[in-house]
Amino acid sequence: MKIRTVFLTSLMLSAALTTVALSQESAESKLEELMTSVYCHCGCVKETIEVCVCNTAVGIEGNFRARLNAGETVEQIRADYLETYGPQFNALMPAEGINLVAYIAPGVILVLIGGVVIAVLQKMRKPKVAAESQAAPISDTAVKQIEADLEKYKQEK
Amino acid sequence: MTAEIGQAAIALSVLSALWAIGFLCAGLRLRSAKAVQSGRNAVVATFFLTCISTGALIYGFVTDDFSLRYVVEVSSAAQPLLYKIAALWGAMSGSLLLWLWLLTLAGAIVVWQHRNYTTDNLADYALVPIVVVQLFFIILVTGIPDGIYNPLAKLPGGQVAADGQGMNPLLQTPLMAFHPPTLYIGWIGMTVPFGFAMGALASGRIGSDWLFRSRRWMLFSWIILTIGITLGGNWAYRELGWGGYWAWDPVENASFMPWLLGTAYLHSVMIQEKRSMLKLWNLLLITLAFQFTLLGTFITRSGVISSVHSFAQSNVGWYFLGFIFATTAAAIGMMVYRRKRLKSANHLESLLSRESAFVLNNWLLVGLTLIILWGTLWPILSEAINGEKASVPEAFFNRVVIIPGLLLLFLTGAGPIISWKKLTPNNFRRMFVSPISIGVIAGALTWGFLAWRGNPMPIYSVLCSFAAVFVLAAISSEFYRGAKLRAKRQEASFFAGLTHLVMRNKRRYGGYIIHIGIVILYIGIMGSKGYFLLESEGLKLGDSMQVGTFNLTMKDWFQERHANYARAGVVFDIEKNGRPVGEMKPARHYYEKTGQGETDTIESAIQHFGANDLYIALGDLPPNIDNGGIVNVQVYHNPLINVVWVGVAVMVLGGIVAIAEKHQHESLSKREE
Repeated sequence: MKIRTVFLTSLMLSAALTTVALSQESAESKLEELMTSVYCHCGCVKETIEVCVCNTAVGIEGNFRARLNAGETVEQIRADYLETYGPQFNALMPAEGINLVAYIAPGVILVLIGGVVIAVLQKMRKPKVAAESQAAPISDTAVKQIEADLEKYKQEK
Repeated sequence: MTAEIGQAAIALSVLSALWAIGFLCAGLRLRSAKAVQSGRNAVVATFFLTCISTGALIYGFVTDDFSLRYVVEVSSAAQPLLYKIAALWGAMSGSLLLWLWLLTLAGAIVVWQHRNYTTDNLADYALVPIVVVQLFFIILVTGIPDGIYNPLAKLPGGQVAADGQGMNPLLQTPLMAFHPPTLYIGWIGMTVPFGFAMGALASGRIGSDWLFRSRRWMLFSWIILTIGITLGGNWAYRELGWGGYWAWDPVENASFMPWLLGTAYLHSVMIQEKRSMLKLWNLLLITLAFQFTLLGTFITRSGVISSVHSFAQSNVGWYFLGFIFATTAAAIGMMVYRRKRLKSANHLESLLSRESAFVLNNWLLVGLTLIILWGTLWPILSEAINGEKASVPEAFFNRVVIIPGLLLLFLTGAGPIISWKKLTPNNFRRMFVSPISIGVIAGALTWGFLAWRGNPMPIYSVLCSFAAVFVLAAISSEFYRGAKLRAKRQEASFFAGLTHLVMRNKRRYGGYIIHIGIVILYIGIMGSKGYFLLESEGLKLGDSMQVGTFNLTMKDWFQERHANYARAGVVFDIEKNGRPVGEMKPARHYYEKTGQGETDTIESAIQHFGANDLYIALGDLPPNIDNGGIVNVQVYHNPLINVVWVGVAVMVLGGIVAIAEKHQHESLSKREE
């Protein structure tokens, strides 16, 4: 009986501790997600809250932490931040909506230029007919004709 | 009085440049040697006039002449002499004057290089577009266009300020004293090949002569631009406090795009020299490279895109954009006019040949340039489309450039070993099989190592290792084979053979050294960008933090007074694997005179551990630091970051070897004619 009680208590205790640890870890990962998703507005250019070393960033981190602890979601806090300071402080550019064009275009640029390159290379290649005629052996009749022409030329000279 | 003389020199340089253009054009048209000579003299005179105006401004800085508006805005009496001189390029007007002075110097050098060319007038044709570019800058420097003022202009009403506002503190570092001039020299170096290209089109001499005349200019500007970009990266690493050297900021991209196009051009001219192909392409490429040197100024100065250089906004960017359109239209018009003479003399034998490899290399380099331009301009484009200015993160660029970047790395090794005209099975077996095999083994070892360490997403690192080792093996085999043959022929040692090999063909082997440098650079980028560690913490005196194998204890703080700033920082005791390895002192500088910048700068502490760095950046020090006040600290462990600097040094060394090759243009152009 006693052993069972101890076992059950310790089981419940460890479950509770794990839950606390997991929720803390989840809060930390949420905070990190937030801090890497927006730029600091201190005057530095394009430094996320995680990277910026100024006091403004420290203040923002504290504010984010408090709001997360109060139960607000990452999306809510992020949206508020961007509404206050402007979309230029958004450090994420997900490949969706209009930004999808930005992600697709580099591939299109490479393919288009690649197409032009292939077309140019094909155009630059030796014409097949000319290449074949160059490679084709001279027939015996042609050789005889050339020899006869040469002989005639020598005699005329 | 000195300022008035400088202003008069700027005004006279307008006339001098117009004289040069007029007399060169008339002399070439009427075949008058006297008129051409007069035009050449005017080019030199323009240089001397800009020397006077630039000298007058430097004199104003050194003597603290606070009657000058520009001196007041970017200098102060307490500023050290180095930064008083560097203040010349500390803001817009002075930067334009420096750019102009360097441009006129380039023009004068072209005249001097061709002083004995009395019948050959290609250089005179080339001087016309060069002086047109000079004239554009002279007009900007006069201060007549709206939004720009003459750097030698006085304060209104004859006022004299008691002191200046000081230069932007971020620029008051030795690296920043040299970074902008090197970029300008690199960009201006590209104006001369562009001038020769336009001169070739105007004169109808569209052979390879213009390439030979401008080869050293292009290589020189490529080397200087490489140094300039690296100085900028090193400055960002030391001064901006984010632990990195490259973040795809618009201003970084602006300097990188002409470099990419210059690299493409340096490769494609070889096809024209050896096979008389790609004539039109080379003209387009040099035009593009030149225009991108101007586009950089539009991007960074117009204020349309925010950047670490956004303090330097004005109307000037829009004048640059207008000039870009005008000169591009003129260049394309001339190419259309000469289109019949731009056809290739030879044909491509096979798609698997060195010629094709060069074309592929050009495809990737130009493609990368356009991709970077796309990403840089996306904020403007997105705003035009949906009214919201997107902010393009570093991750976007990293994602879109990685595949073309790796393909380029592979071509760095494949290009030098693939045969001209056609790759035969024998050539493939002899040249490719061993390097590819060694590369595959290296890739597999990298995979194993990363899997053992538990690193995620190792695929790009594996591909990078494969390509890097393939390139090293391919190029080493080129050196080895050549040196062995030379040593055998001359009955000398292998080292003597190697030296002789490089000295006999500096351009080729200098190029191979550059390729080795690129491989080293890639390895450095892979390590430092892919595997860095970052830890941020708020620490009190006596607190410790752990970063990888390092333990840092903040043991003390300090404060110092300097001529024009105060320095405050903390002292860290560093231990690696439990053993003390020294102290690090990150700090912040607080400036009294801040010009257009912030009052303080981050002075990161960096300690090298072989190829790796431990890097500490500091937040503001609280007034109660002695009583438990918290300091925000960021610590990075940057693996292989010093390999990046080594790679660039090797690239520059290779460039110096390649540029040392003697001029061949006289004999070759005679042969061509």
